[in-house]
Amino acid sequence: MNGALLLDAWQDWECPNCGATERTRPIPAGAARMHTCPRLHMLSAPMVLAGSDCKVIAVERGDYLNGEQQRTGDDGRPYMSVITERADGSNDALAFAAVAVCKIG
Amino acid sequence: MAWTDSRIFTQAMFNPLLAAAWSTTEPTTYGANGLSADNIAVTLWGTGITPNKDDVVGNTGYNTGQWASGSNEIKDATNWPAGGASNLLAGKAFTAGSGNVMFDANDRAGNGNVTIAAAFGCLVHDDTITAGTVAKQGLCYNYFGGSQSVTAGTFTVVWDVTGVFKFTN
Repeated sequence: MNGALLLDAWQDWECPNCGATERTRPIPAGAARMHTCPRLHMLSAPMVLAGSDCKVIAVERGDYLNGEQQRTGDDGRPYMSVITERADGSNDALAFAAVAVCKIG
Repeated sequence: MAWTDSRIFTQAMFNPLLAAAWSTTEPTTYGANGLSADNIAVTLWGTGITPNKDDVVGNTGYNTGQWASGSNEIKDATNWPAGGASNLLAGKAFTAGSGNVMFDANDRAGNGNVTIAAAFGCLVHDDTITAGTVAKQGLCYNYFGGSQSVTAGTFTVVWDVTGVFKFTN
């Protein structure tokens, strides 16, 4: 019997903080799966490939807020980034830029 | 002083952003359809500069004044290249809300893994403007609130939920 072998590829994702899981088709290089993480103050955080040796942390804004409008967690604190730290020493960063505001009047 | 906040350049508000309020000639090559048609680039900057929202227009362009690339721009040859011409904003939108108008765009990731040390903020400039005010005129600068670094990983600028910049009343 002749026939084509149909491969069905997928990737498993998980959040090391809240335990959320997801299975998707392979995503493009550089793309990320995001979710709103209840264990990271409801910030938008990346999911990691299941089984990855890493941690995902939220970093509070280092400077005074000074009237800025920046991403705020459900604890009311401003956060400047969510960082994925891998066991090999590499890391990814989502840097939360404050919005530039012109106040009229 | 270094970075303290995020601002729209006063000269960018004067022209081109609010140029239609007067008979002001817009910068050379500024798009007839404004930011929607222009290439808007993002570059990363260290703590060696003190952004000045009221700087003269000639000092607000990319690679002018204190925005001279030199050692102040945080860059990678390939994945966060100088000038940001290959890091253009996509998904641009200009929308009105209650008491505000905001310019928004998709979050800006680099082109791949990078090693970046101590990026404190970004400059958003109009890469389509070639002259008339200043080439590559800066629109705004956005502070991250501290030092940001990555090692052999991705660096993504995530805009606030209320946009890249906004006008409020």
